[in-house]
Amino acid sequence: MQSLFEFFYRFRSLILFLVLEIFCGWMVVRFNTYQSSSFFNSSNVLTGAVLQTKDNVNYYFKLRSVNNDLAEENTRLRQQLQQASQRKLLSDEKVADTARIYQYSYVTAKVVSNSTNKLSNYFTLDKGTQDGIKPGMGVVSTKGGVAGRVKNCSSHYSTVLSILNDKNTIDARVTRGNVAGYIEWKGGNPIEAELINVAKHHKIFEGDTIVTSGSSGNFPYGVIIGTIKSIVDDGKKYNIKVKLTTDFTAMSFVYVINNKMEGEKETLEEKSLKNK
Amino acid sequence: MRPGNIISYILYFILFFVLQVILFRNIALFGYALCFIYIGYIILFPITTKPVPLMLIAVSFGLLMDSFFDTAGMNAFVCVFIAYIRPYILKVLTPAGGYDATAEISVSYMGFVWFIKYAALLIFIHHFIFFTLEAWNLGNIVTILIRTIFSTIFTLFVLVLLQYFFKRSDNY
Repeated sequence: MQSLFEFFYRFRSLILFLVLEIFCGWMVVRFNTYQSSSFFNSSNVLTGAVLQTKDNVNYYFKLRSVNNDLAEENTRLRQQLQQASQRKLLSDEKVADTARIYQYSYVTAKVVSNSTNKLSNYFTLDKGTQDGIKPGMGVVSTKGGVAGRVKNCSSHYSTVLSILNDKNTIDARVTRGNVAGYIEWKGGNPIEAELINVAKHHKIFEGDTIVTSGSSGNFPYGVIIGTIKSIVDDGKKYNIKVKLTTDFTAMSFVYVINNKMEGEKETLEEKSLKNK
Repeated sequence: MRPGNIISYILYFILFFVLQVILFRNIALFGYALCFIYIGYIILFPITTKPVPLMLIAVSFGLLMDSFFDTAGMNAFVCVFIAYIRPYILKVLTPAGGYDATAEISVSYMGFVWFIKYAALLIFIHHFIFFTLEAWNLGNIVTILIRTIFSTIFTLFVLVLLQYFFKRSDNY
């Protein structure tokens, strides 16, 4: 019983102590200019930190729409860039055809499923024929490198034949000397492909850039595919390893290239074949 | 201060008030050492004083000092703190056989060494908290410690001097 009273006794003095100290502390902060300014400054720091955190959280939830906006904007810029380079090509021609400027247009698409570990890899996009995508169109990644070619389309989805597919070959050029070849992938490492069919008299070096040839019409000339990683000369031919620019393991958005003159080119070529 | 002797409480109050406000108001030895002799009033209260009345006395005395030194709340804060921890310090320093019921805190009653230990501890705590509050920034910890140590020596010296000064008058 005595210890109970002692407990209350000590408790009472502790309460009085805390009340008095809080009161005095409040006075210190309230009535001393320096202490109050630095106290309220530090509370501003605290407020700022809280608001910053809140903003970060909000930003996280906005990321989806921010990403979409950025991807759309990138598409627009890419289109303008392509138009600018087409315009430059035009300035060298005698008869300027302004339709050339708008030859390529881009559609943003999100990669909804992807694989890199099989021998025949495909990825699926969330845009289809309703967004103007047709089989055969080229697909480039956000890093600017070639990703693949559209294989099939439904009204809202498309599947794309990735470079990482043993059935897919892409016409390529080594920028040094415009040397022609094909890009082929035979399974394994998802960041490495092979450049085949390079004639042995050409001089190429490690680090050379490999771009699309533009001959197939899926891609304009000069879309980067990768860089030469190693060249081995086995006497009969070159064995060239290519480091791919596109990181297929981390693709979220891609651009589908729409070549408006593709139909015209195909019709002409078919006609030529028939007339032979 | 004799336990239960209200007159001595009042006389000590006047003594410390006058010393602090008139004599030690603007003295700073070597530019560092300040004398907060007024804390002697809390330190010298009888051992049997309960913490609750002592804290109320401390906060009033501290606020009074604050009003003279333009340090709103700082002295009161430290005084309340000293009044609160004083019983614990006394418990730690309990001599063999415990305190007498009539024990008063003075050099002549408790002995020189005990008094120095007790007073130095409380004065050091008081000064450290006060200078920390004043600087409002533990980044100046070196300056705070230098000021605390020199001021503790100064205040302690004056407090012990007062003990010998009033020894005779207490004993008549």
